[in-house]
Amino acid sequence: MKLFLQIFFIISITNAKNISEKFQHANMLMKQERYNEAVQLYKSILYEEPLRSEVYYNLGNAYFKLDSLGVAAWAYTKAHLISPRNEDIRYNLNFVNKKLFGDIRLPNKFFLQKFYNRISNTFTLKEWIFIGSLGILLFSIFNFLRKILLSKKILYSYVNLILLTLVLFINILIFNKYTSTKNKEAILVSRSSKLFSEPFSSSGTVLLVVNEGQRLEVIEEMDQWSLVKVVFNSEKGWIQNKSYLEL
Amino acid sequence: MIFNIYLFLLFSFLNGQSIQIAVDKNDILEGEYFTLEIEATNSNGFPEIDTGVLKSDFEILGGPNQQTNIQFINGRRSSIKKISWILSPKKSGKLFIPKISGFIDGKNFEGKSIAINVSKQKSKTPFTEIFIEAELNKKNAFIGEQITLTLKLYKKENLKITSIDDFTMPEFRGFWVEQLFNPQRLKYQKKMEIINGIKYQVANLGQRALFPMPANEHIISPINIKIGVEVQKKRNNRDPFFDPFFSSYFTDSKISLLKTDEIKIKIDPFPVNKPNNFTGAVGTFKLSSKTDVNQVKINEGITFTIMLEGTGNLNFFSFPDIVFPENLEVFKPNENFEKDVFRDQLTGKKSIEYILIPRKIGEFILPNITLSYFNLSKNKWDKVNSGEIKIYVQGKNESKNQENITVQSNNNQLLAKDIRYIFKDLSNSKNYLSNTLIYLIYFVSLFFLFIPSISKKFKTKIFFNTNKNNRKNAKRIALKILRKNNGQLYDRISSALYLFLKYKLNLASKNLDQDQIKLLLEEKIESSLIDDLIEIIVKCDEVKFSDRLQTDDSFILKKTILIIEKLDSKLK
Repeated sequence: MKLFLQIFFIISITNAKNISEKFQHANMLMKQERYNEAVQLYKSILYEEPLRSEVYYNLGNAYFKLDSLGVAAWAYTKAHLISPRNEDIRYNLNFVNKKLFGDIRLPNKFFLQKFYNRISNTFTLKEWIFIGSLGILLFSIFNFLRKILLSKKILYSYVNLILLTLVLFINILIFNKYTSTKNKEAILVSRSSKLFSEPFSSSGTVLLVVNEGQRLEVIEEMDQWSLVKVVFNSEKGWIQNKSYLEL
Repeated sequence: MIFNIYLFLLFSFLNGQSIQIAVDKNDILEGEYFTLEIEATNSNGFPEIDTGVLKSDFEILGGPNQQTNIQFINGRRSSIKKISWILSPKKSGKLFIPKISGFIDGKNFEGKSIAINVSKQKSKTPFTEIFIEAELNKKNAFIGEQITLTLKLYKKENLKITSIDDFTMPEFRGFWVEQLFNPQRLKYQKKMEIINGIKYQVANLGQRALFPMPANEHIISPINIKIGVEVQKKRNNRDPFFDPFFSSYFTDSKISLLKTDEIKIKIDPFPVNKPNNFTGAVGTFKLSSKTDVNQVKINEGITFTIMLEGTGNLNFFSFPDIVFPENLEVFKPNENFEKDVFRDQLTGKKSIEYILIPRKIGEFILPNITLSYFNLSKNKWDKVNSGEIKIYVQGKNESKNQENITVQSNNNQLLAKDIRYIFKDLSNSKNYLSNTLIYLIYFVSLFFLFIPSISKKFKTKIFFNTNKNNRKNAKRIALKILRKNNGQLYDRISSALYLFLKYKLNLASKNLDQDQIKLLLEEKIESSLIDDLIEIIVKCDEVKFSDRLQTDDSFILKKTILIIEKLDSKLK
């Protein structure tokens, strides 16, 4: 009977046409502290529309309340990747990471690299492509005007040079961002999993015990195992597929 | 007695190269050894052969040993390169060294096979003076039960040992091995042993504890040791130097190869009803656990130690998993194993030390740990328990901890931290950057980049007419053309005038029509200036289309510049 009710519940959810209605329903479940149901509902929304940062954010909150911090970190990271300038998402992501790893201070990077990272992370890849296209438009319009004015003033050529470098810089940035999205990144979600030297838990030696919430780079996949690199300290090892979620 | 038999000479090269393959004796007893030698005369390198063919019937005890002799006889240099192996037959009977093939200095060679006669030993006769034996305390055991192997050297009292080669215990396949005793030097037991009525001195060459791994039967392979034994040199009575007085100082040593027998060990199966949590422990054990304190403050560490004492395969099984209560942070344990070396049986203490940090106030119960094992003294399954431990965690420290979190500021107090609340609504800006928009931007950029260069007509028609800048620049362009030093002067003048008028008056046509100019300029400029202009244009045309020499250069140039300047000021 309970199962039947559950199925009925799920069917009724999937039949709900409006996504925002579903979202409101899930938020109501959150208010009633029925987090498990809310998680299911948020997931079903994401199944239909996978690029909703708000849904990922709320899903992260639900997981946080359920005390599975690794999955929460995954959801927040996902939300952050979709809308990188949202302050609330960034705050919660930092909060979960702090809770998972404590206050880790990474070694100070070179200031230019820091600057580059900050700039690159404020916009998504698509936004950067848009900005790049605007840059090219600006460059072409400028050159167009220059041609019809038949003027060869030095100032114009300087402006032209600056515009060209800007366009090139943006395009390199886009390329970098694109290649980094091609790398499969993931977040570890199971509590303290072991990194093995071989894809068999029986014979491989344990290289490292990794905590949940760690960011991983998936290098190779083999059946139920994957070769991953821990982004934090660049250690490589084999891990079971079920212990991480891809970004 | 050693007799050298050079069996054959193989073949000779033109420059006196030759190869000989020989053994030092071909009639030996089982357990003895012989030397196989390949000798190359006048070669550059050592002969290289594949020793794999020897391994079926022989065991390689030593080698390859390389030796080079160089001789100068009557100014001629000859060299002999020797490479040798020490071989011992694996069985008795007539054995053959197979055809040895190899190459030297890039050339191939092949030998014939050599027969070796191996006679059976007559009841250890050559070894009654000295022999080794691997002693086992039992020949059948359970999986994980200790078998003690002692390697013993027996020798007659009057026999002197000159050398013992370094030997390594073989890999005991199918066993976990733990070292019990490893002698630093040869030391005889005080008590002599009597075997077959003969007194022997006995020395322990090493002791190992073997723990069999699962199988029906294991084989301990033979152990080989080379031992040098002193032999009395046969005296030549006539020899004035080696008279009996000195003989004790000049002794000869003979190397014998000692070998133990192969031993089979039968593995007994465990009795039925094996406990579920059996992890392989066999022996007799005691288990206990303790903590350093019973009362702690929250967030302070406790050391939790599990001690396993006893006899058996202590280091070769894993501990049962311990399920710690929640809110207790557990760090990776330290394992420590202390071996008791003064016994034949492997005894010792194994301790596992956890550091636990309670994160909640209250009473914690550290769980009871149960280890199931096979009790060898009773020959049945048994188990030991460590017992539960209670820990009381006090919360006194909590307020202090809270202070660390709260940040005091002037106006507001940050009490605790939590995540921010969920978003209430979905935003509508789902896809505010559509792909078409980006494509459109790229297309427009392309348009702007290429249109001016593709269509010149487009450029001149639309943009020049509307452009005021060209009017301003008309004089500058015309003067620039006039001041150029190349080309015909009249051509330059006509083109300068043409461009000037074209920019000033926005002319579309390509040729300068006098009537048209008159018509256009009549209203704006006095007729004398127009006449001057037309005069120059006509003159230019005349020169262009006739073969008349071009004269009055400087005069007409100055005149043109003057006219252009006047026109420029008038036509503003």
